[in-house]
Amino acid sequence: MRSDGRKLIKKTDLLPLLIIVSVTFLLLFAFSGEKPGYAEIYHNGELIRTCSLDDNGDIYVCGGNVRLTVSDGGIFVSESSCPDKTCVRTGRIHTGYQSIVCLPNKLLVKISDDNTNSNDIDVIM
Amino acid sequence: MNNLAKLKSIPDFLLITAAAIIISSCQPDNRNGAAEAEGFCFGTFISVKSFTDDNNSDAEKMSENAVQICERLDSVFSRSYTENANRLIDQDGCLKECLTTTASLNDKYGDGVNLTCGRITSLWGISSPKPAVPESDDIIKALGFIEDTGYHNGDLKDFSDGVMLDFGAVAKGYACDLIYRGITEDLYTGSEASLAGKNSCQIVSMGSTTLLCGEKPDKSSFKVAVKDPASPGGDNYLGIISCAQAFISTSGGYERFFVEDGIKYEHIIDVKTGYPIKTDLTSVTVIVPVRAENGGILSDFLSTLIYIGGTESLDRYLGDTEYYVIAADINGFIHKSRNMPEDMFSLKNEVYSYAQ
Repeated sequence: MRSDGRKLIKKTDLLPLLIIVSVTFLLLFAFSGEKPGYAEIYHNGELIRTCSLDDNGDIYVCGGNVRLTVSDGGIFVSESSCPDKTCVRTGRIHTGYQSIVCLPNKLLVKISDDNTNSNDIDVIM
Repeated sequence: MNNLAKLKSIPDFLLITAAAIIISSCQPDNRNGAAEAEGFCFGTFISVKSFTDDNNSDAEKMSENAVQICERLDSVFSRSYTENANRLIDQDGCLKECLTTTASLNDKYGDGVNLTCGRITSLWGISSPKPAVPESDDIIKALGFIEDTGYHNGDLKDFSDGVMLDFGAVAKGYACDLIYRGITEDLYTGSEASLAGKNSCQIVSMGSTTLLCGEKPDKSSFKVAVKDPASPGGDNYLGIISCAQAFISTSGGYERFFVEDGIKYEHIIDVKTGYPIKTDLTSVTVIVPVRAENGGILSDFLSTLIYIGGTESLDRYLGDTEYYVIAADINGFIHKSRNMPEDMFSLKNEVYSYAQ
Protein backbone atom coordinates (compact mmCIF):
# COMPACT_ATOMS: atom_id res chain seq x y z
CA MET A 1 0.00 0.00 0.00
CA ARG A 2 1.27 3.39 -0.96
CA SER A 3 0.60 6.57 1.05
CA ASP A 4 -2.05 7.78 -1.47
CA GLY A 5 -4.00 4.61 -0.78
CA ARG A 6 -3.66 3.28 -4.38
CA LYS A 7 -2.66 -0.36 -4.79
CA LEU A 8 0.65 -0.98 -6.57
CA ILE A 9 -0.98 -3.51 -8.89
CA LYS A 10 -4.70 -3.57 -9.27
CA LYS A 11 -6.63 -6.72 -10.12
CA THR A 12 -7.82 -5.13 -13.36
CA ASP A 13 -4.17 -4.58 -14.40
CA LEU A 14 -3.33 -8.22 -14.04
CA LEU A 15 -5.42 -9.65 -16.88
CA PRO A 16 -4.01 -7.52 -19.75
CA LEU A 17 -0.55 -7.88 -18.22
CA LEU A 18 -0.89 -11.65 -18.17
CA ILE A 19 -2.12 -11.68 -21.79
CA ILE A 20 0.71 -9.43 -22.97
CA VAL A 21 3.40 -11.50 -21.21
CA SER A 22 1.95 -14.77 -22.51
CA VAL A 23 1.79 -13.48 -26.08
CA THR A 24 5.35 -12.17 -25.77
CA PHE A 25 6.70 -15.53 -24.73
CA LEU A 26 4.68 -17.34 -27.37
CA LEU A 27 6.02 -15.06 -30.08
CA LEU A 28 9.59 -15.28 -28.81
CA PHE A 29 9.29 -19.06 -28.79
CA ALA A 30 7.80 -19.10 -32.27
CA PHE A 31 10.48 -16.83 -33.78
CA SER A 32 13.54 -18.22 -32.05
CA GLY A 33 12.81 -21.93 -32.03
CA GLU A 34 13.97 -24.54 -34.50
CA LYS A 35 11.61 -24.40 -37.45
CA PRO A 36 11.16 -27.15 -39.99
CA GLY A 37 12.74 -26.35 -43.35
CA TYR A 38 11.23 -26.83 -46.73
CA ALA A 39 12.72 -27.75 -50.06
CA GLU A 40 12.55 -25.48 -53.08
CA ILE A 41 12.67 -27.33 -56.39
CA TYR A 42 13.82 -25.43 -59.48
CA HIS A 43 13.75 -26.60 -63.09
CA ASN A 44 15.42 -24.50 -65.78
CA GLY A 45 15.89 -21.79 -63.16
CA GLU A 46 12.20 -21.56 -62.31
CA LEU A 47 10.72 -22.51 -58.98
CA ILE A 48 8.36 -25.35 -59.82
CA ARG A 49 7.51 -26.62 -56.38
CA THR A 50 8.12 -26.30 -52.67
CA CYS A 51 7.55 -29.05 -50.14
CA SER A 52 7.79 -29.31 -46.39
CA LEU A 53 10.53 -31.55 -45.09
CA ASP A 54 8.06 -32.73 -42.47
CA ASP A 55 6.34 -34.75 -45.17
CA ASN A 56 7.34 -38.14 -46.46
CA GLY A 57 6.99 -39.42 -50.00
CA ASP A 58 8.17 -39.27 -53.60
CA ILE A 59 7.99 -36.37 -56.02
CA TYR A 60 8.51 -36.78 -59.76
CA VAL A 61 9.93 -33.74 -61.59
CA CYS A 62 11.59 -32.85 -64.91
CA GLY A 63 8.97 -34.73 -66.90
CA GLY A 64 9.32 -37.77 -64.71
CA ASN A 65 13.08 -38.01 -65.31
CA VAL A 66 13.94 -37.40 -61.66
CA ARG A 67 12.39 -38.91 -58.57
CA LEU A 68 12.91 -36.97 -55.35
CA THR A 69 12.24 -38.62 -52.01
CA VAL A 70 11.36 -36.67 -48.88
CA SER A 71 11.95 -38.48 -45.63
CA ASP A 72 13.23 -37.95 -42.10
CA GLY A 73 13.36 -34.15 -42.48
CA GLY A 74 15.48 -34.28 -45.65
CA ILE A 75 15.25 -34.75 -49.39
CA PHE A 76 17.33 -36.69 -51.90
CA VAL A 77 17.32 -37.81 -55.52
CA SER A 78 16.38 -41.47 -55.43
CA GLU A 79 16.31 -41.94 -59.21
CA SER A 80 17.49 -39.91 -62.18
CA SER A 81 17.73 -40.40 -65.92
CA CYS A 82 21.07 -38.53 -66.08
CA PRO A 83 24.17 -40.50 -67.10
CA ASP A 84 26.54 -39.22 -64.43
CA LYS A 85 24.27 -39.70 -61.36
CA THR A 86 26.05 -36.87 -59.54
CA CYS A 87 22.69 -35.78 -58.16
CA VAL A 88 22.03 -39.25 -56.75
CA ARG A 89 25.51 -39.35 -55.20
CA THR A 90 24.90 -35.98 -53.53
CA GLY A 91 22.69 -37.87 -51.11
CA ARG A 92 20.26 -36.46 -48.62
CA ILE A 93 20.20 -32.74 -47.83
CA HIS A 94 18.43 -31.14 -44.91
CA THR A 95 19.97 -27.78 -43.97
CA GLY A 96 20.12 -24.34 -45.54
CA TYR A 97 23.61 -24.49 -47.00
CA GLN A 98 23.08 -27.72 -48.91
CA SER A 99 21.75 -28.21 -52.41
CA ILE A 100 21.31 -30.90 -55.04
CA VAL A 101 22.10 -30.16 -58.66
CA CYS A 102 21.38 -32.29 -61.71
CA LEU A 103 22.94 -30.51 -64.66
CA PRO A 104 21.61 -32.79 -67.44
CA ASN A 105 18.07 -32.33 -66.14
CA LYS A 106 18.59 -28.64 -65.21
CA LEU A 107 17.36 -29.37 -61.72
CA LEU A 108 18.22 -27.53 -58.51
CA VAL A 109 16.91 -28.49 -55.09
CA LYS A 110 17.77 -26.35 -52.11
CA ILE A 111 16.66 -26.09 -48.55
CA SER A 112 15.10 -22.94 -47.22
CA ASP A 113 15.01 -22.48 -43.48
CA ASP A 114 15.63 -19.79 -40.89
CA ASN A 115 17.76 -21.87 -38.58
CA THR A 116 21.14 -20.68 -39.82
CA ASN A 117 23.50 -18.75 -37.59
CA SER A 118 27.08 -17.48 -37.63
CA ASN A 119 28.46 -20.90 -36.74
CA ASP A 120 26.94 -22.46 -39.82
CA ILE A 121 28.87 -23.50 -42.85
CA ASP A 122 29.05 -20.96 -45.67
CA VAL A 123 30.11 -23.29 -48.48
CA ILE A 124 30.52 -27.02 -49.05
CA MET A 125 33.12 -28.12 -51.58
CA MET B 1 13.84 8.10 -13.16
CA ASN B 2 12.07 11.31 -14.05
CA ASN B 3 10.68 9.77 -17.20
CA LEU B 4 9.63 6.66 -15.36
CA ALA B 5 7.91 8.74 -12.76
CA LYS B 6 5.61 10.10 -15.46
CA LEU B 7 4.11 6.64 -15.86
CA LYS B 8 0.97 6.23 -13.85
CA SER B 9 1.97 2.91 -12.35
CA ILE B 10 4.43 0.07 -12.51
CA PRO B 11 1.95 -2.06 -14.53
CA ASP B 12 1.90 0.65 -17.21
CA PHE B 13 5.65 0.43 -17.40
CA LEU B 14 5.50 -3.37 -17.64
CA LEU B 15 2.84 -3.15 -20.36
CA ILE B 16 4.96 -0.82 -22.45
CA THR B 17 8.06 -2.98 -21.92
CA ALA B 18 6.20 -6.12 -22.94
CA ALA B 19 4.77 -4.39 -26.00
CA ALA B 20 8.26 -3.22 -26.97
CA ILE B 21 9.58 -6.77 -26.71
CA ILE B 22 6.76 -8.03 -28.92
CA ILE B 23 7.34 -5.37 -31.55
CA SER B 24 11.10 -5.85 -31.60
CA SER B 25 10.78 -9.63 -31.82
CA CYS B 26 8.60 -9.30 -34.90
CA GLN B 27 10.87 -6.94 -36.82
CA PRO B 28 13.00 -8.47 -39.56
CA ASP B 29 16.75 -7.90 -39.30
CA ASN B 30 17.40 -5.11 -41.77
CA ARG B 31 20.83 -4.09 -40.62
CA ASN B 32 22.50 -5.41 -43.77
CA GLY B 33 21.66 -5.63 -47.42
CA ALA B 34 21.74 -9.22 -48.63
CA ALA B 35 21.02 -10.79 -51.99
CA GLU B 36 21.51 -14.12 -53.71
CA ALA B 37 21.87 -15.05 -57.37
CA GLU B 38 22.31 -18.39 -59.06
CA GLY B 39 23.13 -19.85 -62.43
CA PHE B 40 24.44 -22.86 -64.35
CA CYS B 41 27.91 -22.20 -65.79
CA PHE B 42 31.13 -24.11 -66.44
CA GLY B 43 29.17 -27.35 -66.22
CA THR B 44 28.24 -26.69 -62.63
CA PHE B 45 25.87 -24.76 -60.39
CA ILE B 46 26.93 -21.25 -59.38
CA SER B 47 25.62 -19.73 -56.19
CA VAL B 48 26.43 -16.16 -55.12
CA LYS B 49 25.56 -14.47 -51.84
CA SER B 50 26.37 -10.81 -51.29
CA PHE B 51 26.07 -8.65 -48.20
CA THR B 52 26.50 -4.91 -47.83
CA ASP B 53 26.04 -2.49 -44.98
CA ASP B 54 23.87 -0.18 -46.99
CA ASN B 55 20.95 -1.71 -48.75
CA ASN B 56 19.77 -4.63 -50.81
CA SER B 57 20.25 -2.79 -54.06
CA ASP B 58 24.06 -2.90 -53.89
CA ALA B 59 24.00 -6.52 -52.74
CA GLU B 60 21.71 -7.41 -55.65
CA LYS B 61 24.06 -5.69 -58.10
CA MET B 62 27.02 -7.58 -56.68
CA SER B 63 25.32 -10.97 -56.93
CA GLU B 64 23.87 -10.37 -60.40
CA ASN B 65 27.18 -9.10 -61.74
CA ALA B 66 29.05 -12.11 -60.42
CA VAL B 67 26.68 -14.47 -62.21
CA GLN B 68 26.86 -12.35 -65.38
CA ILE B 69 30.67 -12.57 -65.34
CA CYS B 70 30.40 -16.36 -65.10
CA GLU B 71 27.86 -16.55 -67.91
CA ARG B 72 29.94 -14.33 -70.18
CA LEU B 73 33.11 -16.33 -69.55
CA ASP B 74 31.27 -19.61 -69.96
CA SER B 75 30.11 -18.58 -73.42
CA VAL B 76 33.67 -17.46 -74.33
CA PHE B 77 35.30 -20.65 -73.06
CA SER B 78 32.66 -23.01 -74.42
CA ARG B 79 33.47 -21.90 -77.99
CA SER B 80 36.86 -23.54 -77.55
CA TYR B 81 35.19 -26.96 -77.39
CA THR B 82 33.94 -26.72 -80.97
CA GLU B 83 36.53 -24.52 -82.64
CA ASN B 84 40.23 -24.89 -83.26
CA ALA B 85 42.42 -22.62 -81.13
CA ASN B 86 43.77 -20.62 -84.07
CA ARG B 87 40.26 -19.73 -85.20
CA LEU B 88 39.00 -18.47 -81.87
CA ILE B 89 38.32 -14.77 -81.50
CA ASP B 90 39.57 -13.36 -78.22
CA GLN B 91 37.45 -10.24 -78.13
CA ASP B 92 38.21 -9.01 -74.64
CA GLY B 93 41.54 -10.75 -74.03
CA CYS B 94 40.18 -13.32 -71.56
CA LEU B 95 41.63 -16.29 -73.43
CA LYS B 96 45.05 -14.67 -73.71
CA GLU B 97 45.07 -13.79 -70.01
CA CYS B 98 44.17 -17.35 -69.04
CA LEU B 99 46.79 -18.83 -71.36
CA THR B 100 49.62 -16.54 -70.26
CA THR B 101 48.77 -16.82 -66.54
CA THR B 102 48.60 -20.61 -66.79
CA ALA B 103 51.86 -20.66 -68.74
CA SER B 104 53.62 -18.66 -66.04
CA LEU B 105 52.28 -21.13 -63.45
CA ASN B 106 53.56 -24.00 -65.62
CA ASP B 107 57.01 -22.42 -65.51
CA LYS B 108 56.87 -22.05 -61.74
CA TYR B 109 55.15 -25.27 -60.64
CA GLY B 110 55.13 -27.80 -63.49
CA ASP B 111 53.35 -28.70 -66.71
CA GLY B 112 50.76 -31.19 -65.42
CA VAL B 113 47.99 -28.75 -66.33
CA ASN B 114 47.92 -27.99 -70.05
CA LEU B 115 45.14 -25.98 -71.67
CA THR B 116 45.78 -27.43 -75.15
CA CYS B 117 44.21 -30.74 -74.11
CA GLY B 118 40.82 -29.89 -75.71
CA ARG B 119 41.02 -32.59 -78.35
CA ILE B 120 41.63 -35.29 -75.75
CA THR B 121 38.97 -34.20 -73.28
CA SER B 122 36.38 -33.97 -76.05
CA LEU B 123 37.43 -37.44 -77.23
CA TRP B 124 36.60 -38.83 -73.79
CA GLY B 125 33.41 -36.77 -73.70
CA ILE B 126 34.14 -36.01 -70.05
CA SER B 127 31.76 -33.06 -70.00
CA SER B 128 29.24 -34.56 -72.40
CA PRO B 129 26.10 -36.48 -71.45
CA LYS B 130 27.66 -39.73 -72.68
CA PRO B 131 31.35 -40.07 -71.81
CA ALA B 132 33.06 -43.20 -73.16
CA VAL B 133 36.51 -44.77 -73.43
CA PRO B 134 37.95 -43.85 -76.84
CA GLU B 135 39.93 -46.08 -79.19
CA SER B 136 43.64 -46.07 -78.28
CA ASP B 137 44.56 -44.99 -81.84
CA ASP B 138 42.37 -41.91 -81.45
CA ILE B 139 44.06 -41.07 -78.15
CA ILE B 140 47.49 -41.27 -79.77
CA LYS B 141 46.34 -38.98 -82.57
CA ALA B 142 44.86 -36.49 -80.09
CA LEU B 143 48.13 -36.42 -78.13
CA GLY B 144 49.76 -35.06 -81.29
CA PHE B 145 47.77 -31.87 -80.84
CA ILE B 146 49.16 -31.06 -77.39
CA GLU B 147 51.33 -27.95 -77.38
CA ASP B 148 52.92 -25.83 -74.72
CA THR B 149 50.15 -23.66 -73.20
CA GLY B 150 52.38 -20.58 -73.29
CA TYR B 151 54.10 -21.44 -76.56
CA HIS B 152 52.70 -18.47 -78.42
CA ASN B 153 52.37 -16.10 -75.50
CA GLY B 154 48.60 -16.30 -75.76
CA ASP B 155 48.50 -15.38 -79.45
CA LEU B 156 45.77 -17.75 -80.60
CA LYS B 157 46.33 -17.59 -84.34
CA ASP B 158 49.81 -19.08 -83.95
CA PHE B 159 48.60 -22.36 -82.48
CA SER B 160 48.99 -25.25 -84.91
CA ASP B 161 46.02 -26.35 -86.99
CA GLY B 162 43.88 -28.83 -85.10
CA VAL B 163 44.95 -27.77 -81.58
CA MET B 164 41.94 -27.29 -79.34
CA LEU B 165 41.85 -25.59 -75.98
CA ASP B 166 40.12 -26.68 -72.79
CA PHE B 167 39.99 -24.01 -70.08
CA GLY B 168 38.22 -26.30 -67.60
CA ALA B 169 41.19 -26.47 -65.23
CA VAL B 170 41.27 -22.70 -64.65
CA ALA B 171 37.94 -21.30 -65.91
CA LYS B 172 36.22 -21.09 -62.53
CA GLY B 173 39.30 -19.70 -60.84
CA TYR B 174 39.62 -17.06 -63.53
CA ALA B 175 35.95 -16.14 -63.07
CA CYS B 176 36.64 -15.70 -59.34
CA ASP B 177 39.58 -13.45 -60.19
CA LEU B 178 37.38 -11.24 -62.37
CA ILE B 179 34.63 -11.12 -59.75
CA TYR B 180 37.14 -10.19 -57.07
CA ARG B 181 38.60 -7.43 -59.23
CA GLY B 182 35.09 -6.14 -59.80
CA ILE B 183 34.45 -5.88 -56.07
CA THR B 184 37.78 -4.41 -55.03
CA GLU B 185 37.82 -1.90 -57.85
CA ASP B 186 34.19 -0.94 -57.25
CA LEU B 187 33.24 -1.78 -60.80
CA TYR B 188 29.77 -2.95 -59.85
CA THR B 189 28.02 0.08 -58.43
CA GLY B 190 30.24 2.85 -59.71
CA SER B 191 29.57 4.53 -56.41
CA GLU B 192 31.66 5.14 -53.38
CA ALA B 193 29.47 2.70 -51.53
CA SER B 194 30.93 0.04 -49.42
CA LEU B 195 31.95 -2.53 -51.97
CA ALA B 196 35.66 -1.86 -52.06
CA GLY B 197 36.78 -3.45 -48.89
CA LYS B 198 35.70 -4.45 -45.50
CA ASN B 199 32.07 -3.37 -45.48
CA SER B 200 30.91 -5.76 -48.14
CA CYS B 201 31.03 -9.49 -48.38
CA GLN B 202 30.57 -11.94 -51.21
CA ILE B 203 30.54 -15.71 -51.22
CA VAL B 204 30.77 -17.22 -54.69
CA SER B 205 30.40 -20.98 -54.79
CA MET B 206 31.10 -22.85 -58.03
CA GLY B 207 31.23 -26.38 -56.69
CA SER B 208 34.94 -27.08 -56.70
CA THR B 209 36.01 -23.40 -56.62
CA THR B 210 34.99 -20.72 -54.16
CA LEU B 211 35.64 -17.04 -53.65
CA LEU B 212 35.26 -15.67 -50.14
CA CYS B 213 35.53 -11.91 -50.25
CA GLY B 214 35.28 -9.19 -47.63
CA GLU B 215 34.03 -9.65 -44.11
CA LYS B 216 30.84 -11.41 -43.06
CA PRO B 217 28.16 -9.18 -41.53
CA ASP B 218 28.64 -10.80 -38.12
CA LYS B 219 32.46 -10.43 -38.40
CA SER B 220 32.96 -14.17 -37.98
CA SER B 221 35.39 -16.08 -40.17
CA PHE B 222 34.23 -17.92 -43.29
CA LYS B 223 33.52 -21.60 -42.78
CA VAL B 224 33.96 -24.03 -45.64
CA ALA B 225 33.14 -27.72 -45.30
CA VAL B 226 35.36 -30.05 -47.32
CA LYS B 227 33.55 -33.15 -48.52
CA ASP B 228 34.74 -36.58 -47.51
CA PRO B 229 36.04 -38.06 -50.78
CA ALA B 230 34.92 -41.51 -49.63
CA SER B 231 31.39 -40.29 -48.96
CA PRO B 232 30.86 -36.96 -50.71
CA GLY B 233 27.09 -37.00 -50.34
CA GLY B 234 26.87 -37.28 -46.59
CA ASP B 235 26.98 -34.86 -43.69
CA ASN B 236 30.19 -36.45 -42.52
CA TYR B 237 32.67 -33.94 -43.88
CA LEU B 238 36.41 -34.39 -44.05
CA GLY B 239 36.83 -31.19 -42.07
CA ILE B 240 35.99 -27.52 -41.78
CA ILE B 241 38.16 -24.66 -43.06
CA SER B 242 37.89 -21.45 -41.07
CA CYS B 243 39.52 -18.53 -42.82
CA ALA B 244 39.47 -14.89 -43.88
CA GLN B 245 38.87 -13.87 -47.49
CA ALA B 246 40.42 -16.31 -49.94
CA PHE B 247 40.15 -18.29 -53.14
CA ILE B 248 39.64 -21.99 -52.44
CA SER B 249 39.68 -24.89 -54.90
CA THR B 250 39.24 -28.60 -54.40
CA SER B 251 40.19 -31.36 -56.84
CA GLY B 252 39.30 -35.02 -56.63
CA GLY B 253 37.89 -37.84 -58.67
CA TYR B 254 34.95 -38.65 -56.42
CA GLU B 255 32.17 -36.65 -58.07
CA ARG B 256 32.79 -36.43 -61.78
CA PHE B 257 33.58 -39.80 -63.27
CA PHE B 258 32.00 -42.54 -65.31
CA VAL B 259 32.14 -46.31 -65.11
CA GLU B 260 32.60 -48.55 -68.13
CA ASP B 261 33.00 -52.32 -67.90
CA GLY B 262 33.39 -51.98 -64.16
CA ILE B 263 36.31 -49.55 -64.41
CA LYS B 264 36.04 -46.06 -62.96
CA TYR B 265 37.35 -43.22 -65.16
CA GLU B 266 37.90 -39.85 -63.51
CA HIS B 267 37.37 -36.55 -65.32
CA ILE B 268 40.95 -35.27 -64.97
CA ILE B 269 43.02 -36.43 -67.95
CA ASP B 270 46.78 -36.92 -67.86
CA VAL B 271 48.00 -34.86 -70.82
CA LYS B 272 51.06 -37.08 -71.14
CA THR B 273 49.22 -40.41 -71.52
CA GLY B 274 45.83 -39.24 -72.77
CA TYR B 275 44.09 -41.35 -70.11
CA PRO B 276 42.47 -40.33 -66.80
CA ILE B 277 45.13 -39.70 -64.21
CA LYS B 278 46.18 -42.23 -61.62
CA THR B 279 46.98 -40.71 -58.25
CA ASP B 280 47.24 -41.83 -54.65
CA LEU B 281 45.51 -38.68 -53.44
CA THR B 282 41.73 -38.64 -53.05
CA SER B 283 41.16 -34.94 -52.43
CA VAL B 284 43.29 -31.80 -52.62
CA THR B 285 42.15 -28.40 -51.37
CA VAL B 286 44.20 -25.25 -51.92
CA ILE B 287 43.49 -22.01 -50.04
CA VAL B 288 44.98 -18.86 -51.56
CA PRO B 289 44.62 -15.60 -49.59
CA VAL B 290 43.17 -12.85 -51.79
CA ARG B 291 46.37 -10.80 -51.63
CA ALA B 292 47.93 -13.22 -54.17
CA GLU B 293 47.90 -12.07 -57.78
CA ASN B 294 45.47 -14.11 -59.90
CA GLY B 295 44.69 -16.13 -56.77
CA GLY B 296 41.64 -17.77 -58.35
CA ILE B 297 43.58 -19.29 -61.24
CA LEU B 298 46.37 -20.17 -58.82
CA SER B 299 44.08 -22.13 -56.48
CA ASP B 300 42.37 -23.94 -59.39
CA PHE B 301 45.67 -24.72 -61.10
CA LEU B 302 47.43 -25.93 -57.96
CA SER B 303 44.64 -28.15 -56.65
CA THR B 304 44.59 -29.99 -59.98
CA LEU B 305 48.38 -30.10 -60.31
CA ILE B 306 48.92 -31.38 -56.76
CA TYR B 307 46.15 -33.96 -57.18
CA ILE B 308 47.77 -35.22 -60.38
CA GLY B 309 51.25 -35.36 -58.77
CA GLY B 310 50.12 -37.49 -55.82
CA THR B 311 51.99 -37.92 -52.54
CA GLU B 312 55.27 -38.33 -54.41
CA SER B 313 55.49 -34.64 -55.29
CA LEU B 314 53.34 -33.30 -52.46
CA ASP B 315 56.07 -32.20 -50.09
CA ARG B 316 57.31 -29.24 -52.11
CA TYR B 317 53.84 -27.70 -52.04
CA LEU B 318 53.39 -28.20 -48.29
CA GLY B 319 56.35 -25.93 -47.67
CA ASP B 320 55.23 -22.98 -49.80
CA THR B 321 54.02 -19.92 -47.92
CA GLU B 322 51.92 -18.30 -50.65
CA TYR B 323 49.01 -20.71 -50.15
CA TYR B 324 47.77 -23.53 -47.92
CA VAL B 325 47.18 -27.17 -48.91
CA ILE B 326 44.99 -29.86 -47.37
CA ALA B 327 45.38 -33.23 -49.10
CA ALA B 328 43.84 -36.62 -48.29
CA ASP B 329 45.49 -39.80 -49.54
CA ILE B 330 44.14 -43.28 -50.26
CA ASN B 331 45.36 -44.54 -46.88
CA GLY B 332 43.27 -42.01 -44.97
CA PHE B 333 46.11 -39.68 -44.07
CA ILE B 334 45.72 -35.92 -44.18
CA HIS B 335 48.67 -33.83 -45.31
CA LYS B 336 48.55 -30.09 -44.66
CA SER B 337 50.85 -27.13 -45.18
CA ARG B 338 53.51 -26.81 -42.54
CA ASN B 339 52.80 -23.09 -42.10
CA MET B 340 49.02 -23.47 -41.84
CA PRO B 341 47.59 -21.64 -38.79
CA GLU B 342 46.44 -24.10 -36.13
CA ASP B 343 42.80 -23.01 -36.30
CA MET B 344 42.47 -22.90 -40.09
CA PHE B 345 41.46 -26.53 -40.55
CA SER B 346 39.68 -28.81 -38.13
CA LEU B 347 39.48 -32.48 -39.01
CA LYS B 348 35.91 -33.71 -38.51
CA ASN B 349 36.17 -37.28 -39.68
CA GLU B 350 37.53 -40.00 -37.44
CA VAL B 351 38.35 -42.22 -40.40
CA TYR B 352 41.21 -39.85 -41.22
CA SER B 353 44.31 -38.87 -39.28
CA TYR B 354 47.19 -36.51 -39.89
CA ALA B 355 50.24 -37.91 -41.66
CA GLN B 356 53.34 -37.90 -39.50
